[in-house]
Amino acid sequence: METQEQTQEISKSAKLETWLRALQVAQLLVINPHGLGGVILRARSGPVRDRWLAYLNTVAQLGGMRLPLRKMPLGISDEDLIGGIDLDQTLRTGKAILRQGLLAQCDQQLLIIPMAERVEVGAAAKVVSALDNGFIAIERDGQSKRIDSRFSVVALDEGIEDDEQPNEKIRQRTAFLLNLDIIGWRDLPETDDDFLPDAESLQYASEHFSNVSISEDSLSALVGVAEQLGIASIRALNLALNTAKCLAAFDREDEVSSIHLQRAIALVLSPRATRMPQSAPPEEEEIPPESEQDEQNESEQDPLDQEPPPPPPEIPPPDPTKDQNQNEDDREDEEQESDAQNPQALEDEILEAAQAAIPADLLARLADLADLKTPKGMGGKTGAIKVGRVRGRPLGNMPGMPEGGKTLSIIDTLRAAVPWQAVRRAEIKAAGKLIPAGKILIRKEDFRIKRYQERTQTLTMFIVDASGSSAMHRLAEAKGAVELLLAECYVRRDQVAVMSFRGSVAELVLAPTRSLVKAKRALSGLPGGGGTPLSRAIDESFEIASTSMRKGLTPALVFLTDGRANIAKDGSPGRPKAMEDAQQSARAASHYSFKSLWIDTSPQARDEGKAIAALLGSMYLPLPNAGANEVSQAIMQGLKKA
Amino acid sequence: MARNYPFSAIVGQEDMKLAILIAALDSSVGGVLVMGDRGTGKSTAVRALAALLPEMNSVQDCVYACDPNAASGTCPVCDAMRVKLKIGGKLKAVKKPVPVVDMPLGATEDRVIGSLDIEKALSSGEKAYEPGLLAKAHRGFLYIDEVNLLEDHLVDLLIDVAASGVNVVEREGLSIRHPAKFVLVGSGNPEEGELRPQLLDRFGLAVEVKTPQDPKSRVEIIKRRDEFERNQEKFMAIWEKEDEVIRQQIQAGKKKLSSVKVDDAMLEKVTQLCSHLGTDGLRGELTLLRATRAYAALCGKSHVTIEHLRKIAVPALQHRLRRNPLDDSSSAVRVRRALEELFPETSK
Repeated sequence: METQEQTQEISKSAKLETWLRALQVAQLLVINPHGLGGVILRARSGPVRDRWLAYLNTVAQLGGMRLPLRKMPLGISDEDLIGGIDLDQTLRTGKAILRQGLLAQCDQQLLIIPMAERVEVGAAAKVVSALDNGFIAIERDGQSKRIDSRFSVVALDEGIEDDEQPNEKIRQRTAFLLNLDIIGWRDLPETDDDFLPDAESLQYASEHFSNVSISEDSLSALVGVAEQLGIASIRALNLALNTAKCLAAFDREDEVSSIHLQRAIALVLSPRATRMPQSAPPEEEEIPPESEQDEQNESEQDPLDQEPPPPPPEIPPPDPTKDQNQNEDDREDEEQESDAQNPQALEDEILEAAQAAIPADLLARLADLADLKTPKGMGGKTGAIKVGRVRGRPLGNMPGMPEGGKTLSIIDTLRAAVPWQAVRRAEIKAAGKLIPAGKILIRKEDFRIKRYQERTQTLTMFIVDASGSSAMHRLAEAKGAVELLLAECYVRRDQVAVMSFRGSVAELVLAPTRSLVKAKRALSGLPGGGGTPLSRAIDESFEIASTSMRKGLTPALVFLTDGRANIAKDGSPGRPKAMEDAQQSARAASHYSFKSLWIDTSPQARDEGKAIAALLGSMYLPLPNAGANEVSQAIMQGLKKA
Repeated sequence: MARNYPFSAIVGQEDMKLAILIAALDSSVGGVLVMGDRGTGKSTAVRALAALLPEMNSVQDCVYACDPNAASGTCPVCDAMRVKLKIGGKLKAVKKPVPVVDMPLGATEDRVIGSLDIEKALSSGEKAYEPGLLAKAHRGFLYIDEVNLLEDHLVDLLIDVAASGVNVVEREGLSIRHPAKFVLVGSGNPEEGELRPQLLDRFGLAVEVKTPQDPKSRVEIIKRRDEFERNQEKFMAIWEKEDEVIRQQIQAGKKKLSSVKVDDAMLEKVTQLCSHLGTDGLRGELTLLRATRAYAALCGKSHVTIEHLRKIAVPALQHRLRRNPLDDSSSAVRVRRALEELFPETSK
């Protein structure tokens, strides 16, 4: 191994590798849009991304794709996305004319999705269903049609935080996950022209990839590597296989060779790794993230034989480009040898390459993950792997009367009424009545109401221990903290709820609300004293939180207690039984995987509270001597992190 | 046109396949809900079902494809034809494939329940009813992928029609009632939102699918997928025989169904199990009974045995249990535990 130097930054050559890999992804998408699903490109808007898109455009043109590539605007309506009736044409011609939606227009093309991390779940589901089916099924506005459309998506992910990610459904179906944020403008080569494929090869590949075959051994190796990397999804396997076939077709081969498979796995599987190939957690805490891709281009070491696992800087970059340098040739020689070996050797070798290709940032996260003992815990960076629970609905309209606070959608109502004017006029005429000139006849069934925008509001729910043991210590501070937080929540227009538990009951003293005044009133009257029915408090608060989730809110729970339960679920006193019940409840509640924060208000941090917080998957914060301000600060910080 | 992946070529997922076959055999069981991981072949299995169903006798020229033996008064089209018939005359019957109708995301209400033909309204001012998806699905299956993302107002509508078997449309002074008896098949990913209990309850059987972990089946899955994509004709030809076996099995089971006996002792056991688990309402018992009977028929047996009950109890009951705060194990485990407690397996 030549360099052991741990550069703080990713080396220039590693950046170049990443860039070349990105270019190859562009080529592959043009070769087989439908079979590869697309790419998620994590990169902020800027020259690097623009240059990649320009390259994509050029390759698309070379590959004979229709241009320009279409973009899907954020918040696109169902009608524009899937299609619907073309009212103008329909009225003019007297025939029902279907207007194709964006998805139908993208056949054999690439659909660019800007700000993919913000696409709401309804729109994502529709894109995904088209990706899966290869057609758009339209059942709208009296139209029933199926339009073939085989495309792939280029999802531009501008997320900064780890939890800002494109919908998991889309991630599952795009072959490639690229991160261009690590590359700066100056890291790019002068021009990408040298890396442009020739049109003939592209077209040959897109015609022939489907005929490429793969041996059973290679398939086994593929499955084995996926398992080592902790990838459960079968889809990822299919995508890797399709990628390998495209790579082989591009090299005009009719069987997937091990080098193709290797590169396909580096492109598709490595960025999805959920663990390092060895079961032991990697131990490279001192190494800053994004530092592993270093200069060595070939590594003969077998990571499987090393213990502990190799620190990231030793991991060689993959060989992602079609332009194989001489290293590639070296490798090819090995390939040939290893092909003659048993499938296990093949798997090992591919695994090595796959491991090498795990992106820097992901590697750091994997290390974090290995540290986390509880998968549901909310400390650290677990947000990175948490699936977005965001439930939104596409904006639109639905039939109904504008009553009960619903808003009438005038345009949609008029649109709904227009086609029936002839029928209605005829009816009025038949009834011998006068037709009012220049008026549109609107009936009850035309009314369309706006569907309210279901923004994911947070419901912060405080579960305050008002029992004797706690009241003595800190009830007053807790109240103050809650009020401070309420003010903060109020600014963000989030909802709050307060539950208090004491004696033998847990009581919702403040139902979910946005009213600060109401909240203050409820809190000021909060009495203290009595037993600690913790188990009930947990049960009931999670019950309310889950109801609120069904209403479209994202609940977060904040417990303020010393965790010393002494009233059992059935209301009987006695600490052992009460603690047991509380733990039981916590275990059950953890299934919801809501965000929660456990603030231990006892003078000394206690194990009881900590244990229950761990069972709940809560973030645990002992705050023995802090005042209201500190508590509220802690909560703000804690919930943000969570 | 791309063809559907054959049912018999689906690797593993036995629970899901069995539930779908039972629903196909006896529509009164009340449909299947398949929830689970992404990419586990949920949609594939449901769509493959269409190829397995024996054709059904239906009235020629009836848009709703009614059963020729259906009572009069249920279908406006058939009734109109009956009026024209001579006394003792019969409606002309033809064989039609059993419909498996996909309800795509973004479907609008008018297409689901049906509405007036917009073209006729525009061109001639005529009011003609254009049947929707519910009409198409009559006597067949209505498949909703991503059922948990379905918009609420459509869910309400579906629940209503699924319960009554009749679809009523009022539009432009026109009032239409037509039969819409269909088997609801839903699939989705539980991580993306839970189903309302009311809708959950409409499904006779519920199964959970998981991504297969064992490397052999994983290799087999991608291998078959690849073969299917490369040469559909050949692949279909290979699996056609297997599909045919299943088709025969369903057909034989359908014939057998009415003669399958459930003795009182077995009825007692069904009731016992349901009350032990505290499932709400009678629906659980009824479904369990019907599903075990259908399963026995599928196996070619003429009596329901405890083994049938053991196999079916989980899919028939697991989605009807209430959350138990004292018990954090999954519903399936609770059903299995109840089975063991009540009817311990006798050592053979």
